[in-house]
Amino acid sequence: MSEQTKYTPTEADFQFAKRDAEAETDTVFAGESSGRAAFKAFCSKKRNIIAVVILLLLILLSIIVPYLTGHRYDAQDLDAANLAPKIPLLADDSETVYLTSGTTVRNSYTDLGLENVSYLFGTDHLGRDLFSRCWQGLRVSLLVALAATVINFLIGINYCMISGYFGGKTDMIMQRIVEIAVSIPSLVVVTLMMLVLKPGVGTIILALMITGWMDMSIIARTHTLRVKDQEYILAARTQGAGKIRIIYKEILPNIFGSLLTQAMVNIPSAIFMETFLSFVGLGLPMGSCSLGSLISSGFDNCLLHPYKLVPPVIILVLLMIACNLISDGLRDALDPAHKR
Amino acid sequence: MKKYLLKRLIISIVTLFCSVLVMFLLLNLMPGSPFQNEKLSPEQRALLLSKYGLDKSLPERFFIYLKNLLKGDFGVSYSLAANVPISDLLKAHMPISMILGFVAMVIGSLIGMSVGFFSALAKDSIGDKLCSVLTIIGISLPSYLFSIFFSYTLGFRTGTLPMLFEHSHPVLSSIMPVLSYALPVAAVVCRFTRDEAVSVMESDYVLFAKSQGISGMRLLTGYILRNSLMPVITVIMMLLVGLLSGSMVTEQIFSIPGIGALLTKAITANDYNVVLALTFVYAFIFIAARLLLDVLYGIIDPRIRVSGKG
Repeated sequence: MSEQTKYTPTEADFQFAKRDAEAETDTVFAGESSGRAAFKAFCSKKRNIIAVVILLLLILLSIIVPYLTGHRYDAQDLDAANLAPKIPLLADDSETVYLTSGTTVRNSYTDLGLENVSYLFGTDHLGRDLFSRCWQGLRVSLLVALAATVINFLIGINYCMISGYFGGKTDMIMQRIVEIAVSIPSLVVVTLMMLVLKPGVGTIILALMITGWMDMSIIARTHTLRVKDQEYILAARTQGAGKIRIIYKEILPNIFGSLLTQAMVNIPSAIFMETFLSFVGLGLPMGSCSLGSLISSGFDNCLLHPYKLVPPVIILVLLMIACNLISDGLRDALDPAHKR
Repeated sequence: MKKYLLKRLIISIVTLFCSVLVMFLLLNLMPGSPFQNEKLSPEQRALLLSKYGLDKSLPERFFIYLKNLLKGDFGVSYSLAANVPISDLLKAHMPISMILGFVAMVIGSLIGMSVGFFSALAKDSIGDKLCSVLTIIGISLPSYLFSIFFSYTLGFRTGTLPMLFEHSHPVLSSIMPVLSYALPVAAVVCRFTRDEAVSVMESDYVLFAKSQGISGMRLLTGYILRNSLMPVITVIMMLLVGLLSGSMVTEQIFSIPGIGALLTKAITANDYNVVLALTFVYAFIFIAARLLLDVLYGIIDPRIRVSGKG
């Protein structure tokens, strides 16, 4: 209570008490990085691996096949129209046609004198090879979906990390904008966009971008808010890191995983939107093809020649299932608390 | 609580207003007009434009539109069905879409909830695994693939059900559309219910209840079912919004005279009063559902209404 004892530090106080290799290794963080742990968790499930293999196979085929087949995807051969699928070594290449007047079996190859030719998936009403068209269509659809997703990803994360981090009035205004944008039905906006602009791949990507970025930004905002008040952000701020630096160097890496999961969800929905547009007749211009336009023209012919509808539908189904499985797997792997 | 409700209400109204504004501008930027017929002379076209008030400036038109909208008047159709009030068109097309959507929703969510719940109870059994495979397929496929599949198999090959919608057999011809709406819904609801039920069953309060000797039906109905169904209702509400507005593709495949089909027709005919009215209906349903959910949440969870975040 009376006098404070005064302590004068000596030289020895500033020496390391123990300085060796053991003290300098950070045993807590020398373990497994979270990224590697997530990767291991992802690979430990058989169905994740299968999904990745299917997706890679589809991508690979869509890149290679259009160059390999003898038939160009847009080459017309009216003499070889409406041929049923024919696999060279299997003998039976006739098709059964169901008409209102009865059922007939016919073989267009022998009817047209084309015994030496074979089309794996058959040909369409203009004699275009469906095998090349399917893979070319998959290529276009994948391109559209990937481009739209990447753009959405970039817009969404930037928009909402900024809004979530700054908070206050900025957040309020930016969130109202998102809320309004979300409440306008996206199908309507996409359809209108396709009408206003010239049909083409670029327009579809633009339309998907305008309608798709909100989902991503809502996710990004939730995760930014979750991360924002944690100690390491505070630590960065006390050390004088600027807002931009905190957003991109501290917040982004920590919410990246959840965003990646959302991006994988986005790809199937972009593909769905593309096929939907082609189905309504607002998709790509005549001549080019996508999975959507193949399915839609297959549907027009499906009563007489159902074989035209089957391959693009199977490719679409495989693609959608693979993407959904991967996004599920990613979610489980990145978020152990969310384990099912 | 009152303050929270008022705030949500104001935000919803502003949102609705903004979406009308955006759609109005977007539609007016669209090339072409409802009177694109080449046979019309410039004078005739000008006469038509002035008759419908389309020669006025854009802001003026918007205010007139808004004023009429508040009175419940959507204007008249230009080219789809000339001079027919749009409210009549809506009256003719809305019920079928809404009834089909609602029935599909009820069927889909009942199937989804029960299958999901039993699959959670029998976690990791063969049935559960089979169910998860089926739900993944149901979630992945676009609903129009179901429509195509049903239309080809049941409609064309076996001929058991009418392929196109017939007014003489409304129930019989609704089976396929309802099924193709309901299956994806069932898949989504099933998976959500299962996940919720599994996490509830592993939660501390269920373990605690078990340790107190509560078991069997009482544990199921009193603890697990109630807690796992609450979040599922949110999902069902959001799915319902999508279904009530009808599906453009499915309605096209079965040629159902609903609002989805009406929208497709209106867009191709450049009839932008109809497009605007339908968009307003979509936005209204969507925003109303969001508002309802927010209010429900505010009642259920006091934390939300205190912080004021929806």
